[in-house]
Formats: sequence, C-alpha cells, structure tokens
Amino acid sequence: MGDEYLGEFEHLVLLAILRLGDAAHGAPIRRLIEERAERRVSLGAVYSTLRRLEAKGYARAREQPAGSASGGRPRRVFELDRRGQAALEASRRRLDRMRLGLDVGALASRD
Amino acid sequence: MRKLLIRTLRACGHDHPDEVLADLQDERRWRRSAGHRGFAIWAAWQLLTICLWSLLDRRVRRDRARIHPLLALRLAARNIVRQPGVPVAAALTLALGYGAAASIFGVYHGFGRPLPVPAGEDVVRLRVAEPDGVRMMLGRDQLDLLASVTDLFLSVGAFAGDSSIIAGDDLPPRRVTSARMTPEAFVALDVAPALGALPPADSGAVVLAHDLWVEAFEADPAVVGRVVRVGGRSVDVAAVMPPGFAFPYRQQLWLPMDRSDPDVAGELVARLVPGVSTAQASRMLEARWNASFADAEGETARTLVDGFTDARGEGGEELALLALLSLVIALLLVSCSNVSNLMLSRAVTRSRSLALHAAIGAGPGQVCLQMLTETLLIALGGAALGLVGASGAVRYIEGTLAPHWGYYWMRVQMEPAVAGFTLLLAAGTALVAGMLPAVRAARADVSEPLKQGSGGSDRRSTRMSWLLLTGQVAFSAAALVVATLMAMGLFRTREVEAGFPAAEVFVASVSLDTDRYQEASVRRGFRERLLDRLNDSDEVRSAALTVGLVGMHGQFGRLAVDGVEPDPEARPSRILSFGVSRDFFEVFDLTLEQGRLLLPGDTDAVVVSADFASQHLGSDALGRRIRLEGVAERWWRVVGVVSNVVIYDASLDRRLDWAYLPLEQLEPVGFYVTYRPAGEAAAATRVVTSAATALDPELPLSGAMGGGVGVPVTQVLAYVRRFMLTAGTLGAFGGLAAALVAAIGLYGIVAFEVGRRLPDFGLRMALGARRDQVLGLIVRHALARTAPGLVIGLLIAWAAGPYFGLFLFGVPGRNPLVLGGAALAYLLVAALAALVPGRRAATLDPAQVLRGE
Repeated sequence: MGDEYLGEFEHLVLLAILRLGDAAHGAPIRRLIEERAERRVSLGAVYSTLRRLEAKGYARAREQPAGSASGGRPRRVFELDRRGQAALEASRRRLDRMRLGLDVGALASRD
Repeated sequence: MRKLLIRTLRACGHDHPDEVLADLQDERRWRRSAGHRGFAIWAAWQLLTICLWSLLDRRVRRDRARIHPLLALRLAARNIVRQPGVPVAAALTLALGYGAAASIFGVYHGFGRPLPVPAGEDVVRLRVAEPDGVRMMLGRDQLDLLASVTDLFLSVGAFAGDSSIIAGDDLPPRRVTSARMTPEAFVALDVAPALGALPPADSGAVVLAHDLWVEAFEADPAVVGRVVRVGGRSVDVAAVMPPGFAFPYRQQLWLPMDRSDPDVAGELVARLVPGVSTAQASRMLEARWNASFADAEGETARTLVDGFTDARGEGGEELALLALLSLVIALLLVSCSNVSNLMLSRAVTRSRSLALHAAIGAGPGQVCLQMLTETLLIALGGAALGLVGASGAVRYIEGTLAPHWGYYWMRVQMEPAVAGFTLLLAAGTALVAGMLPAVRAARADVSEPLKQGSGGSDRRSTRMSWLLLTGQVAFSAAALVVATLMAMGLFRTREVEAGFPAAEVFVASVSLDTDRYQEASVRRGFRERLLDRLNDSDEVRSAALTVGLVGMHGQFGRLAVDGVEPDPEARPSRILSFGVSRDFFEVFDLTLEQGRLLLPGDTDAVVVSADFASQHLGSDALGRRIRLEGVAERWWRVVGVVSNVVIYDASLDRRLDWAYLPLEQLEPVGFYVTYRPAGEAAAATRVVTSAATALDPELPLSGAMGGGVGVPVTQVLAYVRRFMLTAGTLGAFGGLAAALVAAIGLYGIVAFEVGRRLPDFGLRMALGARRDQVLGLIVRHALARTAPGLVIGLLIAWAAGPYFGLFLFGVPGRNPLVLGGAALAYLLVAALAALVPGRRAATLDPAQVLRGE
C-alpha cells in the first residue's frame, strides 16, 4: 500500500487501459491518450511505460486468441491488476486532497 | 524488410517485435481512415522512439541488476549455505586433489631447495664415473689435478661421512655423526664459523656444529681452544659453525681429513667460478682428466659436475615422484570434472531463479559471474581443507623419510610457496570447472524454465554431465587399477622373501679407527676377541662378522673365470661379494648345496651362490678358479655352493650373483656384526654393545643404514625401499581416493536425474510397476552409463601397464586378474552409488509425486 506513486504518464496509460478494455494494446492506447489528454505521444514511450507497469505489477498482459480485434493473429492485451487499481485510487485521492478548496482556474487567470 | 525490422527491434531489447509491427499496421489503417498522410516518415520516427526507449530501459535494468563483486560473494555464500549438499560434496572432492597436489609439490620443493650457503647454486658435486661405477677413492695426484683447474673451480675439497665418539674432562663420551673434510671443502662452502676460525690443514683441530655446542658444551663461549678426545685422540676445538649448518647429512662434528693418506676416500664438493655452468665444467674437466688418467686400456672416465639438488633424481626417487605427480593430476582432473558436473546439475535446478535474474535485466555476463563466484568459493573451501590434509601428509613424509633423506637442507615442510601453489591451483580449477556450467547457465533460454516450473529439463546439459562422468569414470578406473598394483607391490616388498630369515638377523656396524688399528694383526685380534665374547654369551645364538651387508650392499667386482675367455662384446658381469667370518652361514641360514662351507684358515677359498654357479660356472663349479677385479685382486677357488638370497633392489627386481670370501683375507677396518638372538633381541644387542665397549671403550659402534644399533635386517631393507614404500602407500591412497571421488560424482548425477524423473517413476508405479522394478531400472540405467567409462579406463590401465611396471616390485604392470577385480569392484561401487537415490525414489508415494509435491 505504501509505495504506490504513479507518474503522470503512467496514470494516463492506466486510465487508457481501463477505458479500452479488450482493445488495450500499444496503438489504441497511444491514440486515446493523444486524443483525450491532448499531448503528443510516441509508441516508444507507450511501450516503455507498459513494461514498467508490468514490472511494478500494476498491469499484466494476457494472450488474446486470434481473430477478435487483432487482424487474424494472437496478441497480447493489457489489463489492470488489483494493485494497479489501488494505485489509481490512491493517486486520485491524493490529488483531490491537494486540490481541496482551491480554484485552480481562477488562480491561473489572475496572472 | 520485416525480418530486418524484427531483428533490429530485438537487438535493441524489445521483446515483442511482431506486436510492434502489428501496431504499426493498425496505425496505418487508422491514419488512412482519418485522412493523415506521410505514414512512412511517421512510422520511421515511431520505430526510432521504440528503439531508443528500449535501449534506455535495458540500460536502466542492467544497472539496477548489476551486482557489485562483494555482493556477488555474499550472494554466492548465501546460496551455498542454503543448499549446502552439492557445494560440500564438490569441496570435499576438490580437497582431495588439492591436498595431494600440495603434498607432492611440497616434497618436490623441499628436494629442490638450494644449498643454504652464499651463492649456493655455484656449489657442485664432482664425481668421476668409470665403467665400473663411480669412484669413491681418488689418489692425491688426481685430487691435485682437480685443484689445479682454477679456471673452472674456485676450490675443490673432499668430505666423507663418519661416526665418532667425542669425550672430554667434563664431557661423558657420546656418539656423534661426523664428517672428515679437507679445508678446501670448507672454502668451497664459504660459510664462516660463528665462533673461532676454521682450522688449517695440519692442525688436527675439530669444528663443532651449533647444536652439539649447545647440547654437549652448554653453549660455552670459551669452547674455542678447549681440548677434547675424539676417537681416543686429544684435539683442540677450533670453531663452532652457525646454527643450521650441518653439511652434508646432518653432521655434528667436522674432523680434518688425513693429509698423509695417499688416497682420499669420499665425495667431492667444489665451488664453480662464477659464470661457468655445470655442463661446461663437466666437459672441460673430462678432457683434462682423461688426458692425464685414461687407463692402460684407453678406457676413459666421465666427470660429472652437477648441483647438489640434482641428487634428487637418483635411486628411482624422481621416477616415483613423477608417477605420483601423474596420479595426482589424474585425480585433480577427476575432481575437476566432478565439480563441473555437480555445478551443472546445480545450475539446472536453479535455472528458475537464474532465469528470473536474467529476466529482470542481468546480462549473461552477470549470470556467468554469479556461477563462477560460487565455484570459486567452493574451490577455496576445498583448498583450505586440502592444505590442512597436506600439512599432515607433509609432516608424515618428513617424519618417516627425513632421517634418511640425504642432504641436511632438504627439508619438506608447509611453507608459503606451497600454500601459494595450492591457491593458484584452486583458482585455475575453479575457472576450468566452473566455466562450462556458468556459460551454459548464462546462455540458457530465459523463458523455458519459467514455463516448465522447477523441473527445468535441460536435456543438453544432462548429456554433458554424462560425458563428464564418463571421463571421470575412465580416469578413476585406471587410477584404481594402478593403485591396486602399487598396493600389491607394497605387500611384496614387505614380505622380503629373502632366502634368509631377515627378521631374525640383527645388525650393528663397527668402524675401527685407523690410527690405533693400523696393524692388520691388531684388527684381527679385535675381531677374534669380539666373536669369542659373542659366542660365549647365552643371549646370542650365533654371530658373525661381514664385510658388506647381505641383503643390502657389498663390494662389486668384475668377474673373470679361469679358463674362460671373456666375451669382448658382452658387458662384464658384476658380482657382489661379501667377506664373511666363521658361523656366517649359520646366522643367515644358508644351506649348502655342493662342496663345503668356509673354514677358519682358508686363504683362497670362496663359496658362491647357486645362481652364480649355474650362470657362470655350469654344473662343474667346485674347484674352478675365479677372480673379482676391484676386490682383492687374486684368484679364488670355489669350494662350495650355497642357496640363493633373493632381494629386491631399490628400483628393479634383480637377482644378484653372490660370492662369499673369507673375511680374514680382506683385512677390513670396518665391518658389520650380524647376530641371531637366543631370546630377546634387546638383550642380545646389549651383549654386543658391551662386548665392543669392553674391548675398546671408545669404539664407535653404530647402526646400519636405516636405524640404530641392533635393528633387524628387515628394517634395513625397508629403509632401502623407503621411497617405494612411501610412493606405494600414497599411490594406493590416491587410487582409492580417485575411485571414491568418481563414486561421489556418480551419486550426484544419478540423484539429480532421479529427482528430475520423479513424475515418470511416479507414473510407472501408479500404473503398477513394483518398487523393486523401479529400483532395478535406476540401477541398471546407472550401470549402463558407467560401463563405457569403465571400459576406457581399463584400456588405459592396460596400455600404461608397462610404464608403471618399471617400479612395481615383482608385480607385472599388466595383470588381468587385477583388471577384472577392479572392474567388478567399480561396478559394485557404481551400483551402490545409484542405490541410495534409487531407494529414495522407489519408496516415495506415487500419488504425492504425481501431485508435484
């Protein structure tokens, strides 16, 4: 429970995995983050982060049989591990606590 | 294109390159549908980022997984402690090899120690070798020639070992080992005395050894100038030598060599002129020697100049050492391959953890290092154990052989050089033994063991293990055969089927000093009175005096038979002759076969051994006349033939033709007293010593080689064979150790294989196979795998037989019975080694096994 700090990009990738479900692999994750988070993302960064999340135990890969969404080949798709879910939760609560009582938008427009 | 991309991605460390390609296809479809253009450039950029990120990640993983050398040591130690079985077995087998190697090295080192005098390597022995043998006596003129060769030698001196009785006013008589030396010999050695000064040639003064000065004179600083009696004569003490000096054979006292003597008897020591080598000196001296002293028939002599340490090669000792060394090397190789084997099986059982280690980023080099570190720790542990064993062995060797070793500085002991050698050996063998398993562990496919659970059936490594085991079996089987032969030879030497009751004949030696016993009649008187006293005593059953010790050494003479032309082609026969007194034949229990024994008053009679008669005289031996050149040059008439005495010479099984001459005719100064006790040996010996002392209180009665006064001839014979005995004992132990080591190896690999195939056995038993059937299967499998190595080993032993036969006493090197016996014994050991793990497997509950517990 103690060491579950997520980097911002790791956070985004985990959320993307949650959203994509069965289609959670390299290319769709990249596209989703580019679209929703409005930042340029390279495939290399995505793969690297997926590796790191796997090593930390937040996500795991499973074999998806050929046919369904993968253009005729078996491939790996990612899904959240319980530890990953806990990490997401903890991260969100942390941010909420920091934000409590602040109006970030008003503060920003002041300067 | 696709293949190139995949290879590139893999090279950068990306594990799933085909997924990358699939993702890129996916992206292309999406971009096309979204109307984006320039896919090729975009894709190239993505590939670049993928490669860069992969490389970066790999670097980070490696750095995180990099093991600090100290950490590697700790990890290795922890692994060993956790699973000590294999490491302990490996360390023990290595310890055997290291211990043996360290001992042999210690001996070789001790043998090869240089003379502990200034510029010791320039001090050499000089010997003149004629066809008959090495001259032990030189004429004054010959010694003068040697001294004149000043371009080769700085100094040439003579020395002869002796035994003396020293006594003084406050000093009770005591027997000491002494040596007669010329002053030039001291000059050649170049060692300055600790007290006093070396005496000039004619002073007659003596020099004390440090130990003697401390023991007998209580380290009296005023000892120089004191008068003592040596051999009945009053002499001055001129000097005390520094501690540790005991040239040549642990002497305690040095006397001057008699200058007036026309002949010089003894050995020669010289100091080379710096820059002259022994080979040069040898050559140049030989030319000059033969120019002056070639004998009438033009026969030349060889002059041998060699360092004192080269003496280690004589008497078959070097052969024995070499044989031991080869046995030890074989043993070490066996140990090495054993350890390799064990580490291999260990690597396979640990392949899961190793694979995990690799998965989190450890490179192949890291895994290799880890395995090597473990092997190194094991090897060092083995080396420590081996050194402990070696120091014990070295102490044993020094204790049993030291008194008869030879030169006083040849000490065998544990020292830094030996320890250093062993550590180097350990490091080397660790590398050799550990490299193969380490490399295999590093190269093993990472994912395979992870998928298969802890079984990790690496079939290739098992085959490698069996190959190594075959090598082990071959070596150790050969070693076992050799060890058995050596042990047999050992027993043969103990038997001493001598042809006389060697255990019942006791020996002491007498050396009459030439000053008081110059007259032959005086000497004769002493001998006769001594024999009378001995024969009158109740404790002594029979006694005789001999020149030369029957069973050991005598005087060699070249044989000439009256009426027989010597064959110019053939080498002249050398006959061993002994001077014997009355009752000799009774003491030695020799039976008369023809003619008569020697009688008192015989002047030219000789009795010969049966083999002598048949070899040289034919059936008609009696009455023939023979001549023994080099021993009392005259004709002797054969009056009798007695039974043979068969002895085993130091290095070869030789039967010598012997002749017995009347002692009286040889007028000896020194002789042996041989006697058979009526009852207790100690009582008889006391009679002998008191008889000698009564006749002459200052007579040095000493022991024969191999012991003190009054030892049985068996002990003397044992001394002669001491090296063979030691080599045989060590060799026997070595062979047994080799077999044991191989048995351990076999056990290791069978245990591992059985463990691996447990599910298979479980299945068989569940399907109805009986326990004894499974056990039989395991044992048969093990024996079948052992057989090829065994056959190879026996072939090696058969082929090497003649080589080893050279120094096996009366035991042929090729012995089918021994080979067969060794094979059976080996198979038995192999079956036992397989039984232990086999029984464990057969008594398991099949259900449990199948469940994977």
